Amino acid sequence: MSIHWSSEVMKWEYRELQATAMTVDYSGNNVLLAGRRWLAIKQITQDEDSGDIVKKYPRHSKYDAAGAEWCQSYHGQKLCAIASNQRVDVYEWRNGNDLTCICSLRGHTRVVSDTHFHRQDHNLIATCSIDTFTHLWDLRDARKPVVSLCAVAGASQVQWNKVATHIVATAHDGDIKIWDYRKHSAPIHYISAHLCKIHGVDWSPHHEYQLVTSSHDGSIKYFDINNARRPENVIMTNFPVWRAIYTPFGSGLLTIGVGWGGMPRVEQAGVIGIWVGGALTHRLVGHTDTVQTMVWRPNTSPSNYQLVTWARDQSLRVWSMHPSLLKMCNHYLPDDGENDDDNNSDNVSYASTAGSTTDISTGDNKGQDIALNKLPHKTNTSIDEEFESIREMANIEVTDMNIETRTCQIHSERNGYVANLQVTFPRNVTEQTIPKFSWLSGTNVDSPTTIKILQSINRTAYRKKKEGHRCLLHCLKTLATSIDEIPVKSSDDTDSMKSSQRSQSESENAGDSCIPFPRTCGAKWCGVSTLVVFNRPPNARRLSLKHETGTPRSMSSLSLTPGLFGTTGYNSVSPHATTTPSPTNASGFPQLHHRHPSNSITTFYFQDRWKAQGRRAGSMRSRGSISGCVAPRVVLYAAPNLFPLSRNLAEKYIINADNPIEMCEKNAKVATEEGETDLAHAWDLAALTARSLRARVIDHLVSSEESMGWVGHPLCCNLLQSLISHYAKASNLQMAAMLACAFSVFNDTSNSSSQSTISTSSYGNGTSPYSTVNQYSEISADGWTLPIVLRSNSCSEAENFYTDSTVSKSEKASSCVLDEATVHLYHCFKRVYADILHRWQLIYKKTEVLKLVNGDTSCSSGPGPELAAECARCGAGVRGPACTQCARLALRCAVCARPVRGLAAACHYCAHAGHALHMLHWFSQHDTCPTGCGCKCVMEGNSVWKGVNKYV
Amino acid sequence: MITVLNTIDTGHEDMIHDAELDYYGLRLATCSSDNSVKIYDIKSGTQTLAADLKGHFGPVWQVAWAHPKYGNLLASCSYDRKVIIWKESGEWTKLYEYTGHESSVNSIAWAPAEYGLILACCSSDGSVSILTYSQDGGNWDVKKIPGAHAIGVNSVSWCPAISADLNLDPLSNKDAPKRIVTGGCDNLIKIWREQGEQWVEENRLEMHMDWVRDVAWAPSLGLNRSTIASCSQDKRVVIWTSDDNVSWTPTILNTFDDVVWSVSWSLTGNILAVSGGDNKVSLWREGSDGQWLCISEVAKGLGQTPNDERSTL
Repeated sequence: MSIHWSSEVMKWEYRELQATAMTVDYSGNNVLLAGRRWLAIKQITQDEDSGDIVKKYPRHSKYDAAGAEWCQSYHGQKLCAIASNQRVDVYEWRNGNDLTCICSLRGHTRVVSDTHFHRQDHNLIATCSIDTFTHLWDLRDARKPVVSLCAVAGASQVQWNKVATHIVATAHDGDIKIWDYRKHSAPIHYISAHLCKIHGVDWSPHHEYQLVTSSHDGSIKYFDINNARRPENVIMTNFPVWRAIYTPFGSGLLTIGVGWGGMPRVEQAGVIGIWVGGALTHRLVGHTDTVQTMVWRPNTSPSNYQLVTWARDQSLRVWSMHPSLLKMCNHYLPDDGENDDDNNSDNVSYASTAGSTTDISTGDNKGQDIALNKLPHKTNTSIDEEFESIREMANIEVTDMNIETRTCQIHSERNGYVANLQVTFPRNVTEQTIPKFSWLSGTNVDSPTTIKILQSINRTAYRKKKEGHRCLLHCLKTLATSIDEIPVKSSDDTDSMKSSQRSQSESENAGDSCIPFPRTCGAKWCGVSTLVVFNRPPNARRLSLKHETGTPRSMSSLSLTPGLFGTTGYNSVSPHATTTPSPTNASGFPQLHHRHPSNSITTFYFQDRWKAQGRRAGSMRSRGSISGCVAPRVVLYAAPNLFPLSRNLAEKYIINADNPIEMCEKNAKVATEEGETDLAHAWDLAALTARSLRARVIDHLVSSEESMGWVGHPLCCNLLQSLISHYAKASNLQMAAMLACAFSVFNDTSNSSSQSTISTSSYGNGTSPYSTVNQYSEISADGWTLPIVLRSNSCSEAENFYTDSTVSKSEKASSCVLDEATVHLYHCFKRVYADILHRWQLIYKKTEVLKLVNGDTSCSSGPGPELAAECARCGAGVRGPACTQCARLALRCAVCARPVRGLAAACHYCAHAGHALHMLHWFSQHDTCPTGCGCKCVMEGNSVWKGVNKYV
Repeated sequence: MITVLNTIDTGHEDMIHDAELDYYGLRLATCSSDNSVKIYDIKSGTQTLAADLKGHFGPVWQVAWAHPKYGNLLASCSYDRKVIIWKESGEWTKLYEYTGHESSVNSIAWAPAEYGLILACCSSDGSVSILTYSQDGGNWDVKKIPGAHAIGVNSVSWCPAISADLNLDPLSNKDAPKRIVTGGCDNLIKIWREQGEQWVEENRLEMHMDWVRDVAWAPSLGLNRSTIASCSQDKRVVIWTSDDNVSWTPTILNTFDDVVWSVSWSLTGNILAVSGGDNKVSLWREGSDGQWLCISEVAKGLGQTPNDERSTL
């Protein structure tokens, strides 16, 4: 049962005025009470101290005021109309105290029953009378009406549409006439609404095409004016309904009854009923006699709707709407407590649209702080920007855009649903005002859904406005998403919107509406330069669908192809019935799968064929013939020329980082043979730089006369670097990687000096023969192994790799020419090139390249310390094989006492080192250090020596 | 410039939805609305059917080969809500069947091999699953991102493991997070980052006006930046670029005549193949001025000569 509710916030009694009509002005702060003797203007403000300010203006008339109305447009907010007997007086309230009659509209021959100002044009007013006429007046020339709408029966109500500006509804006894005043000879719609007199008509605030009527027969009916033969919805009460008005929020309805449910009239007449979804949920109790007028107070904040009522008990009351009611009507409140929304964004359906919205209206401190912080970033978005933002939107058609009236109209068709939306931007835009969205004719989404969609659009609008962004674009995106979420209905029942009337097969396929339409054409790059292409054969022709011009979006479209399966006897088998797994029959698939499943995608493109088959054979075709007409094939394309990568070159290129000159020269030759003259030229250049690199070492050994050095010389290191980056930019990773490989100087990073220099360690560089750390971080699967990141440096997979090149290496050790990032980049090139070589199945080449990839991690996080020798002559610490000071080989073998050139091994414990072979040989017979230091190297350095056989 | 290497009559009884060559380009896997997955051995100009995998009970949407270091593994996903990982060991058998989705599984993608054997799957139930093979237990560990996209997820792609940025490359930065990009029916593209045990939404890219059909993270070493291509029902292809994987800049590559279904990057990341509902394939390359140019377009009935066309009845 309904809740009794006394939520009035203010109440005043004015018995002396004997007012019979009441209206509230545009600002929502002034109430006009009109009676036979007085016109009174009362200020209603929340401020208690302001006292009871009433301005009274004497009006001496024989007749009661049948109606009073304040113009609700911004420009006409000073105007009010008072209907009494046969004329309508229009007053202007000047400067807040002077109420002057500016004109009288005399044209009706009987009592005027209703007046209504146009919602935008304040010069236009409609009046209706029992004399059967409805006159439209231009106040600038009030001598005679500009338009007269003529009917047979007397008119009791006139109401301008709340969305469309040119539509007006009039009530004549039990009928409703809808007029387009531009074409006033005949109504555009005629609705036989009730059997008894219609007391009230109200247009939906959200829909152009919906209105509600209340009648003496006790019924309230919702109509769609475009489909008015039967009402959308009927509420039956057992008392005459004086007024029924929409709530401005959500989907509620307010009614005033004349006599209430058989109860004594005097007690119950003052009750206002609130209906939500066809049920009486609340009653506003307070008035002790019939309520004559109720109006929503204009310009209240969205979370604080107020109703102003005047009743025969001569009391004026202001009611507030309880938040629970707003919620019940599906009204979205900006302070809906969604502050934690960011945290639970898996709140599936609105996850994309709902944002955090802190309170904007009740002055929550936190919310304001945030707003203030954001202020500097806010750009005041103008209406032009808003409109401009949606110009490029696909799938949404802007049918009308008017900057003057600040409205635009949107048309969108998706999934067979048509949505026509009008967006009106309020004139006095503050940061938090959102545009008003309302549905236009042509929309075929049912009303509860439209209300829901409006709420999510509003939600988006509030969020975006709060963030200080333009909101229109995002609102329209929300619109599109929301429509997508409606279960798809089939195209042939567009007329009926009742989901219960949808066919069985359609509900089966409802889930398909969110499964993307199958791809029947595709191209994928595979391998190094192969393009795999599949597509429909040329004889495939797409069906033209009723409601879609492009390729449909979701699989549900497949089931919408009309009459597809009728001719072939497939109508008993829904194409998806065979394929849609349900939890219950998931295990029971086998009995289904012998049938040809999902012929839908085929038939989508081959309808002709299916029809022909049906006609010819009249029986089911064998599966073979289906494949015959489809002939699905895949074409592989080689596009080697698109990529500057050559397998031939890769095969013939040599990789020898120890001798860059030789490597560059040979590769130049290879490139020439392959006809790649520009590459050959680059290799020649590289060879030159390599030569200068070598030359410098030799010079250095004698006496260095180079002043710039290899690193600084523009034609040496810099040239090489720009060569590499040039090829990398041109996507020639082969050349970039090969050049990076050729110069092992690029393998070292300048920050290697920061590493701790422990006397004995392994030198972690990829090309160094000192390298003793092996990181076998590899994955073995199916019998063959592949290192993930690091190569063992002395890898046995690549033969003839280790040549003795101490000289260049000694140089390298001191020339840390590049920063870490560049070294890393070059390693990346090598890794990618290694991957390409792998795909070409050039495994050895790949291994050789990967060996030159020095994972920086091997230094920074590798297990072993770094090896540094102490120069036998000068005693300086040497990280490389040769001492930089005396240019001699630094390390002497502990066994043979000769300088070590090539692979060395050291004891972790006593740090004595020597030729790897000598050391191994020694330890195969001894367990103590060859130097006689007494270290039991084999025992102490157990793990190290155990690993020895790995890298020899 | 582009030559036909091979034409394979797949023998599928219905439309093909995906085809992919393995790592070496020696084997072709195709999948179709006839519920089957077929594998062909490709040798210069000829092909032989190596396997006909039947295990799905609905149209199979996509196939994906794993890196060969894990063996010969093929994953397929289907309308029947299942993901099957097939393994060849002598014969092709089911290695694993994942049934954790409540609606059609639309796309699958193997992670870069450096990360291990990991498969991302996305479904019309709105969630994304990350299946990780653990070497020790020999089982598959499942992590799920529920409600990744409202209505449904259409595509998933991994961020490449090799990155020119030191901080992003797992080789130089052990803590470099894995990333995936997904596109869905909410018209959004989302980038997810693995954070501990969780996958968290790092970014959402708003540009498309309709369902996003495919996303592809490009290997783009030469230009030192991350690139993602996305295509949508709104007929547009958008290229997203970022220097830090945090802020992304969109560029509209082109607006096509019909919906765009797939985008695919070449190995070196400089050429994008685009295909869509108009049955056409086009190749795009970024010019030096940053403009994207169509370098080749393959028209309808690609690769078919008139006498190649079969009589159908």
